[in-house]
Amino acid sequence: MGKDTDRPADLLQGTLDVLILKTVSRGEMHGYEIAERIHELSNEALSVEEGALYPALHRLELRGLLASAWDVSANNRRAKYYKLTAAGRKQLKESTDAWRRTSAAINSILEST
Amino acid sequence: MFDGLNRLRLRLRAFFHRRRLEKDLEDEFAFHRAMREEALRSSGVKNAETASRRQFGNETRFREQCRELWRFTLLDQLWIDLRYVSRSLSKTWVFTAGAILSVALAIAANTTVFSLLQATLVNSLKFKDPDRLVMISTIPPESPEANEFVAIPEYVALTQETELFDRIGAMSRRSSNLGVADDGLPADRLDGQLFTAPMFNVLGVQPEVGRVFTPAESAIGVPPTVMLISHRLWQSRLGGDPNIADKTVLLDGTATRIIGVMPPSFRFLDQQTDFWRPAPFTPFQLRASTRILTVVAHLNADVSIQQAQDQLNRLAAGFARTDPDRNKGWGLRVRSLSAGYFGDLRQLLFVLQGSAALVLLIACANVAGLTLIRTSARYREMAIRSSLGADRLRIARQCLTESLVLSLTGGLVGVVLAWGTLTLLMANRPMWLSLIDHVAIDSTVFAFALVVSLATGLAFGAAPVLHLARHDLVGWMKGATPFSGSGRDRQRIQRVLVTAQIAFTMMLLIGAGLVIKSFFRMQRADLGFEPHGLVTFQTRLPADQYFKQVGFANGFPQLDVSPVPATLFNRVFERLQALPHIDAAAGINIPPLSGYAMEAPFSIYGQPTNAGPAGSEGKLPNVYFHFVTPNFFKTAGIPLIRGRDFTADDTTETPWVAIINESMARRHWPRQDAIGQRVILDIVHEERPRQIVGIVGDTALSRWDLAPSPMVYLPQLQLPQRYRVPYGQDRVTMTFLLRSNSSLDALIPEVRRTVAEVDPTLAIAQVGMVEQYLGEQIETPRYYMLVLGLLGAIATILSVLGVYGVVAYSVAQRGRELAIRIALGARGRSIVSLVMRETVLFIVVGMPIGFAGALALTRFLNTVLWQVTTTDTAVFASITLLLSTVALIATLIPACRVLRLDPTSTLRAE
Repeated sequence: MGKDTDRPADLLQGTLDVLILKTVSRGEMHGYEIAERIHELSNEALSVEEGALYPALHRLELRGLLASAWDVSANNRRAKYYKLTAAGRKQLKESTDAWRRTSAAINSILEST
Repeated sequence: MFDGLNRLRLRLRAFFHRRRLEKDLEDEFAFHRAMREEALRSSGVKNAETASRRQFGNETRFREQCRELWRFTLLDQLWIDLRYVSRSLSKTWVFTAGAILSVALAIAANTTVFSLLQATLVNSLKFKDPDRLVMISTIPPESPEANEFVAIPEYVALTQETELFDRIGAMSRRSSNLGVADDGLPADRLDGQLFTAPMFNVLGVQPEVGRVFTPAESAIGVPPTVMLISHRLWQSRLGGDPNIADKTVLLDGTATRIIGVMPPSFRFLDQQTDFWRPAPFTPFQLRASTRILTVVAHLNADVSIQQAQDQLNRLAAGFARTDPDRNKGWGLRVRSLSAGYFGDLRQLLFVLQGSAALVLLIACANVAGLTLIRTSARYREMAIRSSLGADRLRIARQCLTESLVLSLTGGLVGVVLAWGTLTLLMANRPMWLSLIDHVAIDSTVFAFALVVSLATGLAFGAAPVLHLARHDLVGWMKGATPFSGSGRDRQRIQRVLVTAQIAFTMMLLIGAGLVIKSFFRMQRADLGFEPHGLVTFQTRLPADQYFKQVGFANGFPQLDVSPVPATLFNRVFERLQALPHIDAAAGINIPPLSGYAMEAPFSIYGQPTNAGPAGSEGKLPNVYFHFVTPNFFKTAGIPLIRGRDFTADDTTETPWVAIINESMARRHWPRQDAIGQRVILDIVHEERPRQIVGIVGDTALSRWDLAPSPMVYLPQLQLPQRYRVPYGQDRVTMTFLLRSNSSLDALIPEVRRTVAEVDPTLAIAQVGMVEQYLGEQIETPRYYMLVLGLLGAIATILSVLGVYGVVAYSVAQRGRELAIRIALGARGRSIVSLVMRETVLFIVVGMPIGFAGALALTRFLNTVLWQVTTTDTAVFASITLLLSTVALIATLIPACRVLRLDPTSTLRAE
């Protein structure tokens, strides 16, 4: 499976997963809200097609990191709400730590020269 | 773990609610676009809808991606596995066919026996409320296992136990002569049953035409004048007459009214019953009778069988106190009707089921061995696939899928085979299955076959999977050879399998061997007479016409017997003898080897015994006695050792005589000549001293009881007029034996005519060759032997194939090693012994295990074996010899292939 992870899409996917988990960690929200938050958080730097969010959401749900429920939105429409599960919270912490370690390592390499 | 479960749950939900999933996906996307559209519109973007679509991206692609995620990959993978497995199995079709056949045979055997066993369970009794029906029998003194019939006084006492039974009835058997009919149809012997009036109600059966007996028609002391007939008799002999009810026929010479017809499905215990008459107990019988009744009762709702048994134990103790002559030492037993019906058969079938299970285990070990070989031949393939990213679990699952495909296919073929076997079996139903009305491969049997197939697949699939889990596939690919650790591991499993196969086969073969030996003992037993070419038939006169009850003797009803039957039989005898084609003819009251004989105490005239004067009971052991016509010994082929046979001159007018057998002469006159001595049989007071005029050879009492017993033969004309139950019936029946060169077909009309000339109401029955009847007596053991022999043969073939496969594979795998050895100058013999050594070792280990297993298990055959102990040394020894020879040959043949090995080409090929 080694060569698969080299694809840029996978890098993007991993990043997106962490972003989603981070966003949802603030509370229950639907897909549109998540998309809006990611836009805001990343200072609109991350401009992917919005629909790409959904396969990622469903994958996280299947992995048990997110849980979902249908509810009525503020403007009275049927919407699917996602929230973080315990496993998701753990995963988010691990990913954050890993990312910090990696970036610290890369920083120290970049700054050492 | 939780993660996996959760995913499985979500996927399963998606799998079963696919449509909802699609709708949710659609809604979710639509919601997003609508929100975006509103946001864009409020920020003043024109054409907000198109803009929102553009911003969302390729909706179809995302939907597809989501769908992909939710798809139930397990099922999809299973489908892929199945396709893969069927491709790889069809490539090695010899292996596949062998494995499927092994499993199919084993499953067929198990399913067949299980179906029969299933048919003997409670629900197969087609009576009303069969769970609450019980059978009551008596237990004779000193045979706590045996079940005997119930006597009439005890039955009457049982009918008073209303707190135990809400309904109770009894049956006894009776054959009677029907006819002669007005239209000239000859007299016909029919097998019937005497029912007490409640019996129909107890069993919950109704006639298809007419009605059952009223209590008045079966009242005590009332001679029966009504009967119900079978559907078969109605349709055949009575021509299906629609106005059959109230028609009057002659039964045993008495005008009897037919009041109803029982449906064709109804039968009780016997294979064929043609009429049911009221059981008319006489006042005499209420005081004492022989044990003749089969008693069936319906338990009260709140009474358990155990409670009933406790109460019966108290009753039996009471019977023994009030009538010690008849009941001392006797017990009562209550069993469920189904146990009473099928108890013996179930025991036979349980042994068969056990044997079939052994065959299944052997088949499992066999296929496991073959699969292991196959798997190890595919290590390279698996290693490559594993390195390409297939996970270990997936490969293991594929192995298991393969095993399950094999076992389930085998199971399916097995069920079809079982169906065929059962259809054949029920079409020519052997006697021992006659109680089973109907066998079907129903859902229970099918579930059984399915579970057994699955278990089989898991059992033989486990070996390669375990093996796979144990070692490193990648390492193997890197250059490990079959001689490295992994090969040894595989060999260890193989050895265990070979050992197990040999052990199980040994157990099965010893069991079969014992049964076969027992059967041949039965067949070759010296019966003391010459059955070959002997023709037999029976005649019986209606007892009611020739008996008159006059009192009691020794606690039994006493009868006045008319001299007519003896005279009639004598005339039949004389006429038969005079027939041109008949070399010899004679009659005896009870057919030889029928399994029972009358017995009575006796004393030697003029020889005082320590117990008391002559004529009192119990001073000398009982002897068996028979009534015969002259010429009996010559006809039957029993040697006359000394003295003379009975002649036409031994009549009522001449002094009474007797002939004894050798055993009796040896036991009672060991040092003097028995001829000229006088004996008195203690049957009735009117019995006179008889002078012994001859000594004949010993005969077996029955097929099963060869031990010679003292026996006395009496001329059937020289019997007292006073007689007593239970011996009375024998004064009105006579079995004739004929020796003739004519065929049976030619003889029968002649015999019928002769008998009819003497008395047209005298029906003849059970016409046939004595040898044929003797054959029927051992039909059940014969079947049993065949079935066990067949299972043993299947087991042997399977395990021989297993052993052969292991050795052949080992030779093939070690080709290079062996080639090098040969090239280096090893001699053929040492190479062969090298190949054989290990396998032989494990056969040698398997034998004692099988031996021990057999010692532990053959005791279950105890009831089937005759004159063979369950630890018969000869059988154990010869099976050991047989199996080791066969196994050795199975090892030797592939091992000898080494000799043809060409070292050069073998090494080059590698």
